[in-house]
Amino acid sequence: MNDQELVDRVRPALGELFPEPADVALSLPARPPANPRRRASVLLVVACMLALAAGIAALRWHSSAAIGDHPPAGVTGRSHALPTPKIVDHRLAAPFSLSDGQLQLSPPPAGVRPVVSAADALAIVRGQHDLPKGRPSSVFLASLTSYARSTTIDPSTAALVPDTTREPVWAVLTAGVRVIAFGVGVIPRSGAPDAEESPAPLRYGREDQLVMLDATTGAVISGIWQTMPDRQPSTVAQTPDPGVKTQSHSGP
Amino acid sequence: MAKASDAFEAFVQARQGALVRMGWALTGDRQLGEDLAQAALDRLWGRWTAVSAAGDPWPYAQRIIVSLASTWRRRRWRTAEVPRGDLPDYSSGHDEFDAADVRALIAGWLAGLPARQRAVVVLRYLFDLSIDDTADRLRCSTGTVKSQTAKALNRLRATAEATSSPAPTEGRLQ
Repeated sequence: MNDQELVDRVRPALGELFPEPADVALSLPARPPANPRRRASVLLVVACMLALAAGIAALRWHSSAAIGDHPPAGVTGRSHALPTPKIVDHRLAAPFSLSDGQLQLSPPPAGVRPVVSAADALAIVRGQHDLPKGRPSSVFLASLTSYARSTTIDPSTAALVPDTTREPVWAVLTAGVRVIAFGVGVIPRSGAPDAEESPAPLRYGREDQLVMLDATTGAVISGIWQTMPDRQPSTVAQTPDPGVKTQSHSGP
Repeated sequence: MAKASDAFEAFVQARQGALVRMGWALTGDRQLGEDLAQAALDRLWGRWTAVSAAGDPWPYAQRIIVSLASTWRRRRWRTAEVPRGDLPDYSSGHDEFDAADVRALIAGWLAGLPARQRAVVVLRYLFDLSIDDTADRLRCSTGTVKSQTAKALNRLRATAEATSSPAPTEGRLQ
């Protein structure tokens, strides 16, 4: 029996099974209907209040002390920014990794006390990296394990041996640092004077920057940055891996 | 306000029978169908100004009652099917669509359908809605309506074949 024959049987049977009742007396609701205009105005007021609260929170954040105990707002506001660390009392509370696991940060051992203070760590980073003074940074203590330069494999476990295992380290996280975007240089045409070539205009981008220091000696161990996608210059976007890049590996 | 309530009252007078019928068909229980229709009216009245301003409120009422039926069925406040005191009148013939069999067969088939398939069957074959209108009431794609319809009809076909197959003598009502 095909579908149409089935349907021809179903239709009248359904009509017989469920005839429209004539003895129905539903009651009318007592309350008045909602006024869509009033509802829209209430939603508008709520949205305005939320926007105002967000603005106040942002102002407070930017006017707060340079050493923050919480991640800067820029870190959490972008989907491709550096991961947001969980920080409690200037200490990393939950482990996280960067650069596909090459750098791993974990909470420092309980009771460990850094020789270098958080303020000194921030001063070192600001001195070396010329961070803008108005930009808030988050400074937190952590343990660092790095596989970025590791080439040794443990034969017993067949696992990569970390090249650096250090604790404690200070991590200084700064969001939205304005930097010059390096583009492709202008090559003069053959035979044409250089003066006729207009120089490439400077372009700027923004980065999240994370710098790690040895909390005992104050030496910079490594730095990591991530270009923000909303300000990413085209020349950077065309690179094969525009994600997290290791900036430097100085120090002992 | 007076105009809105008058229009709503007129709508209720015109459509309450159809609302109850839809709730009844979706749940299999007349009383539950009335409860559904009443709940649908309450919800419709809450948005009456906007819904009536947008056009015919009947499709919106249908959407409400389909949604409510699905919700109530999930909550299992009541069973969708009420046990029958009288046994269905099976015939002894092997034609699954003998007149005496059809209603019992359809009732059993509907009772065994998932909520979505049942809603598709009710909207398309009891209320004669098109595929597009059925998709609109169920807030799904036309492809979903077609596939749910096909599944429901396949289940009916299987039910009919199972019913028509020779059964043990003691299992049949003579």
